[in-house]
Amino acid sequence: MSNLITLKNVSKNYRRGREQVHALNDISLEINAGDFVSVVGPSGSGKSTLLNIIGAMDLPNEGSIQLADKELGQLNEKELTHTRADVIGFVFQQFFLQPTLTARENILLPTLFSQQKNLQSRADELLARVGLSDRGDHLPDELSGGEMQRVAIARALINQPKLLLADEPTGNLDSQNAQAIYALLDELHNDGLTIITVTHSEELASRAQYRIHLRDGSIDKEKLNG
Amino acid sequence: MNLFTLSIKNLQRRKLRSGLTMAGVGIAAAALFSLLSFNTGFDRALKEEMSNSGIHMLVSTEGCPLEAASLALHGGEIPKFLDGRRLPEVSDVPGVRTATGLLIFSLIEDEGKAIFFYGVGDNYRDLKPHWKIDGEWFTSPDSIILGAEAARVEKRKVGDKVYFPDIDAEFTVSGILQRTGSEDDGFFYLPLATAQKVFKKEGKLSAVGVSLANVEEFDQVKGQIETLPDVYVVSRDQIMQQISSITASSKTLMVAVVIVAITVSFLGVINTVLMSVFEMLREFGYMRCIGASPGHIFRLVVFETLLLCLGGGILGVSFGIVFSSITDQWLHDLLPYAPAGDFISVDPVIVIASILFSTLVGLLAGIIPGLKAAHASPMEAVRNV
Repeated sequence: MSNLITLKNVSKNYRRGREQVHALNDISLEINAGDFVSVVGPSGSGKSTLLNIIGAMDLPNEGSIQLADKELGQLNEKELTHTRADVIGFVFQQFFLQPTLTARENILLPTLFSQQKNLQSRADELLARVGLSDRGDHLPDELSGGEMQRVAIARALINQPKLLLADEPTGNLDSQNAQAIYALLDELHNDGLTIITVTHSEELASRAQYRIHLRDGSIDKEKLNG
Repeated sequence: MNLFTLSIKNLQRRKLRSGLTMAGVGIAAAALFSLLSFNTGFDRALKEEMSNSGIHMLVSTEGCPLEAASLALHGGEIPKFLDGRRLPEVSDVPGVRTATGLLIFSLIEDEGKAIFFYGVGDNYRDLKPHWKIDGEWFTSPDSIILGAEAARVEKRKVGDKVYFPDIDAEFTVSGILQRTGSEDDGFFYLPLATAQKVFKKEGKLSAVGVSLANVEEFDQVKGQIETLPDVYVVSRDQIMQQISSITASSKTLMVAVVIVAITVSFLGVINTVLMSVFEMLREFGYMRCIGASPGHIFRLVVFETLLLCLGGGILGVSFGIVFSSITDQWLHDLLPYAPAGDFISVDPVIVIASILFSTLVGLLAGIIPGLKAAHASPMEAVRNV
């Protein structure tokens, strides 16, 4: 497997009022293409900060991060935007669906900002893949939480990203809907997609190949499941 | 789907707010349309009326001849009088086609409203070729012709008697002017000799209206008339300038109102869009997460603002056109001198200019909210959960 993500001695500090917060301390790790990685740890341990840095939304104060052969610290704002559009798919706990757009239009939303066009048929394929073929013309407020998250996952996949980043993807779902999302993530992983998920769900964490345990901004454990 | 349709959908999320903002822009656009139409319409109507009137110059006595001329045209008592002997002398000047004597007087009615009497000679009709009279021209010394509005207010028709207690005189309505849309509609016309008699100004005139046989001989004729004693001559162009100057303050007031309306609308649009931007900062931040550039977000917000202002512009101009007759009437009542004819007509150039201006305002109003939105942080979007 080729290396997709490399973090070397990454540290991230920021100020919260008068307090200096050390969100990440000297993190180094490598993630290969096709890996399924879960990031776990208590609140405030730096999980989301790590995800944001890998997702090119934030840059470290120290260290370097390489994503798909690009050194993120060397990229300008425009290149970072292209990286987010074309290399990464994001899924969040809150779904962030546009309330005035149908499920299909929400899935197509990232294509407005990327180089890829005319993806109508791909949107229909993704709707089928997440089991919502008959819900494409529905607005978000006509969908259940689980359906909304499946739309959000389909939207993250529309630009055929190399990496799927999921921050608490089942955090707002009941167990039945959460199971459907676990199964979907498993399926995507089996198809070769690289997935990194931050989660408090032991079940989701246990489905990943690798588990990164963060505590106070440092990697506490990294173990291979099974 | 594209950024433009996304903008439309965003506006639909806040129907009431978008509608009210659009209405605000619409009011400003309607005011702008009416002002631009008025400015061109007034000048055109004035020129038409002047050329229709056939009066190339007005002869008055010492004092302010321009004031006398404008009073003669829009109604007002000229304080000094011309010796009636000047009328035949002016008529005899070579190059004069028609010279007609005018005597203007006003009466204040019980409600404090002034009514104006015009004593005019028979050849006054030559200077008002566009007049259409229901009934007849003066049939006897005690006949009177009423302007359309005067007849409406006095509730008189042809053949009726009308009595004025202040001058203890009764007249028979021989004719009623068809509506001209000008000041003429409000006047009471008497035979010149009758007016001189009832107002006790025998042998006196307020002014003499002169029509030339050949306009190119204007300077020559003017020079000759000015050799007569106590006589001042005012040209049609000078009268037009005088009328323009007495309406200038009204025009300035209207421009000020339009500027205020546009400014309020401009700030209203900024406020509305900025409020929406603050509400949608997380959405914009999330769009940044999924690949939107600051330019995409900026365009999205500016499109929304443009749509609001374009919609408001079209709405406002449409209202301006639909209600142009009401605005027209209001302006005729408001202005110190209103020539006949419509001020507000649908000129495609003014329609397009008003809508384009509204759109330009939208473009400018969208800049600040657009920049604010463009700087939405993807980090903030996902952090403040």
